[in-house]
Amino acid sequence: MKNLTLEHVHKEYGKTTVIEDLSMEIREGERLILLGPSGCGKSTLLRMIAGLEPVTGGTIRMGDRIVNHVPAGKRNVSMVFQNYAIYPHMTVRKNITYGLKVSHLDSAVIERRLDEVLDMLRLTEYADRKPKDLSGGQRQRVALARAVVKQADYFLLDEPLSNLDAQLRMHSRKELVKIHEKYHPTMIYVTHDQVEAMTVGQRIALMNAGSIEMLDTPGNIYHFPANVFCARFIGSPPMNIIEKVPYNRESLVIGTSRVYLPEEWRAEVVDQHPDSTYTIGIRPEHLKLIRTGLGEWERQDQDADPEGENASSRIRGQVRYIENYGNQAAVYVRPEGLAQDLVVMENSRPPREGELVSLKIDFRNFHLFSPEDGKSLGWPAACIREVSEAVMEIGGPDEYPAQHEYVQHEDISEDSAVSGLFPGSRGRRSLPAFSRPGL
Amino acid sequence: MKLPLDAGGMTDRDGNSKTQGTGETGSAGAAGWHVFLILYTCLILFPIAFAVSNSFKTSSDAYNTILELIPRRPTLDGYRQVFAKLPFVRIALNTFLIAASVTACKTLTSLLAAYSFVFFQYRGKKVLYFLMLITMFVPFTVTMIPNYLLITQMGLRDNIWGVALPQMADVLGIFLLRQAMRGIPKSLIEAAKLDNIPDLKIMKDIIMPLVRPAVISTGIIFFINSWNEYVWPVLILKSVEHYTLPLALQMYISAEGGTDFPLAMAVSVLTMLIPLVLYLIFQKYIISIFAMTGVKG
Amino acid sequence: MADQKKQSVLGYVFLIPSLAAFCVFMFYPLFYTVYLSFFDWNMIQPQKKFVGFQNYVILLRAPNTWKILGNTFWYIVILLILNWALPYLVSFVLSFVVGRMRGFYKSALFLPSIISLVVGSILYTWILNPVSGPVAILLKPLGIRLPFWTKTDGWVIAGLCIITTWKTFGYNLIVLLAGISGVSPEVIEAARLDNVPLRRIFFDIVVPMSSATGIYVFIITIVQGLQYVFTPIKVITQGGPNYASSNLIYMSYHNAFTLFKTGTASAASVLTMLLFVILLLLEFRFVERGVYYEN
Repeated sequence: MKNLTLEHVHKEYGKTTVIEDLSMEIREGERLILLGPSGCGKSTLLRMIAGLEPVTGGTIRMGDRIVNHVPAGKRNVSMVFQNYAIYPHMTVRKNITYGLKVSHLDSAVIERRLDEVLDMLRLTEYADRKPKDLSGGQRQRVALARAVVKQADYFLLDEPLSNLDAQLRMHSRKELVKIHEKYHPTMIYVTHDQVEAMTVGQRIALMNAGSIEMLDTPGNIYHFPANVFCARFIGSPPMNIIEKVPYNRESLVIGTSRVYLPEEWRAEVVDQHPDSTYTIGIRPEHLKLIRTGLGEWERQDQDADPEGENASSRIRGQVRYIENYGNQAAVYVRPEGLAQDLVVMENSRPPREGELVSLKIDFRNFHLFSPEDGKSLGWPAACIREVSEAVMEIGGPDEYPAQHEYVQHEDISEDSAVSGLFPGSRGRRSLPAFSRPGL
Repeated sequence: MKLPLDAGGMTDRDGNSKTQGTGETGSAGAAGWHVFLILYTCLILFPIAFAVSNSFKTSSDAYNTILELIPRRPTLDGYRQVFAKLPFVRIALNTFLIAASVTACKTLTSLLAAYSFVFFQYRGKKVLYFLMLITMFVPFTVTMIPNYLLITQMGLRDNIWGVALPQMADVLGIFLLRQAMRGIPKSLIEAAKLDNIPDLKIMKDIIMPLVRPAVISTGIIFFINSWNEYVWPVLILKSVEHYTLPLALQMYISAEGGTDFPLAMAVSVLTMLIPLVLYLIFQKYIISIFAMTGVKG
Repeated sequence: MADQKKQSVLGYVFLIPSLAAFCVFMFYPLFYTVYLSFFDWNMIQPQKKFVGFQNYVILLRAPNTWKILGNTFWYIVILLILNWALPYLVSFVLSFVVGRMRGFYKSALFLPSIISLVVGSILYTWILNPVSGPVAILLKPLGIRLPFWTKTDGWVIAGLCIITTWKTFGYNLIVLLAGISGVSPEVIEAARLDNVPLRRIFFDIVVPMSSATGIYVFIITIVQGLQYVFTPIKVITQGGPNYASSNLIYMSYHNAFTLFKTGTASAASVLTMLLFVILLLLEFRFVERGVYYEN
């Protein structure tokens, strides 16, 4: 049994509480990501699992065994440290075999395992070098090799790629997944990088301030964030969140624009949680920018009157700022009467700054949150079905993110959006934000 | 202790680029400083050259050609006299025995204490460290009378072990080795712990090899300092055959200059010989470890 | 937890050798010296006579004491100029002004630090010999005559300070260089681009940014300097002429081992320690306050 159970785990340093009351189950052989902003307690949690940090309260169970007081060396875990922690005075070979030798493993076995990892991580020709004669990427692989060679049941990684440059990081992500698929240890991987989390993880535990905000597959965290924190943390540029949006007469009042809420949202979500205001969320890639000629809004939009009956599904605004990414652009639009910008991803010719535009919300990918606690109020059944199917189409959550990093998504075309289909339902295999350079 | 190595290039670049603006050229300024520094370096090194050259002169040459650095008639007379007039081998051996035992003791106790301060958690650790550190600011006059009485009571006066005994531990050593051990990333130890490597093996296989350079340089500093020590031996040692080199040397000083000039220079040269050789070999280590002493933490 | 207990025990065990040595040869003597300062004794008499603060009173009433305190002040001033201000400047020049030969200067200027002060003393008594020494010979044609500095008030302090500086300059330089290396070259480059003169760069940028080390060296220049200067005093002048070269440290020694007055010797040591403690407190205060720290 290689599963891991945390029950009411509690951790304090002196008077500061790092982890309040955390429970979760990590399944045997899965790749679980602990993701969160710095200081959220994810590294502390990992170190408690490793046995490098005592637990203040609660229990950690490995299989059936409570390991709270089991010293690190007896937990059958291997770990890759953020700074690699390779012994600077030992050669690569010695670094990898040192632990095995001290534990008196048969030397033939050691040799065989050594050769295997050296080969797998392309280190064979560097076996007799010292760490100072290796590049950053090679050092990272030595650290990985040293952890892998132990063939422990639990494979822990503490931000193992954060010291690599973008190119190497991309490569190493794949390597990590490959290694995991070879040995199937229970892998717990700490990172603050959402791309790493999405690409490596089978499940992600999104942490904030010492507790888990959401524990689910990458696809579900992206498409169905449980609360405002999750919605904001995943995706880049982050989801547009507008707080305290007044709701009346079946429509949301965004600035001076009145946006009609579709029937299924009203029946299945809003009626279950009646309120006068809501916090709403729309991802930049789910907003559609409509250009209406220079300096003029469309006639019918101009007629729309926030107090009147004529709600439309468009938000009027002015382009304030454009960030060009090359293949697309993030357009910052200031809706009329609102004190914040909304970001729209635009992959055709971007508008000019100062231009007057309209924004159209795609209600298949729309989020309503409670104005009090920021929790998601849910989605209409049709939305869930459609989005889930789209996710399934690209291979299911398990392999979903890792294989589709480079897919271009020119499908997010104006046509599909305007016609109200799930925008780019085929093309959106990669999350648009992730394929951009410089993330 | 790394220095901004490209600062020099910067000087020249900037010096040239702003020549017109201020009329002050960086390179001319740098040249002026070079002249100053070279003169100053010569001034600092002159006494050593002075000692070496005069120690090889005859008595009359030494007085008459005191300014000439190359002896006209080189002779070993000065050195011969050293061995004739003093139990020199005995004195050198005394000095060496004290320095070696003090170095061994201090290195061992400092290593243990530093290891304790860095790798163990216990109550009162910070207070104890602070207490030890603060002794750097205690003048030797505060401890000299009681220690003198103590050594006398133990019957170790006029005995080289009486000199060595009170020097078994050293704050500077604890400080330097603690700094060196703190420089070892915690994760190295943790990685070893995860592999179930026993503490003793961690100490032997990981920590010791990594602090070895610091241990060596600290040891050299201990040795040189003890070799040169004057204040404490002069209180304890009374008879010439128990003397250390600085004490023997002291016999050839008087405010007027003393009588046997080449002999005095020869003893000086012999006294500074060992530290100089050590310095020439381990220069980099010694300078870098001394540089650490000003770093807080 | 068992592990924690093991840690504590081992921690103390490892500390014992040093701690024992410190207790016997540092902490116990410290308290014993304070104790002795309240007694009249000569190290031989079987009975010590309790005299309260008498020793301190005697010490502070003696006219020599005030002369010696004055000497101590001048020692401090001269040592601070030669051994703190000068190496500070040189370390700045080495770091940011001259590029080449930095390693050479460093090694050469540090070299005397590893040589015994007794050697330094004997060499300088010859070099600075007012009649037959090389300096005197060189200055003679210029019509300058060296004073008999070992016998002259004032000059004697200067001479002894030069000897001490010869030994300690290099160490202070190395430490200050390390402190200044914390100032990033980019900051200096930026100032140079703004055409800030070197003098201003030194005083407005380098000194404030390396002040933690600067204060440390300032303090040790006083604390160690007064103790270092003991050796040349002892071997060359024995505090003379007429106490003109004695300082607080030598006064303690002189009282204890020449006059065999442990009471006044201890009182003088305690006063010296108080002076150092005040300096130390000042350092904590300064360092805690407006001092620039890299981290």
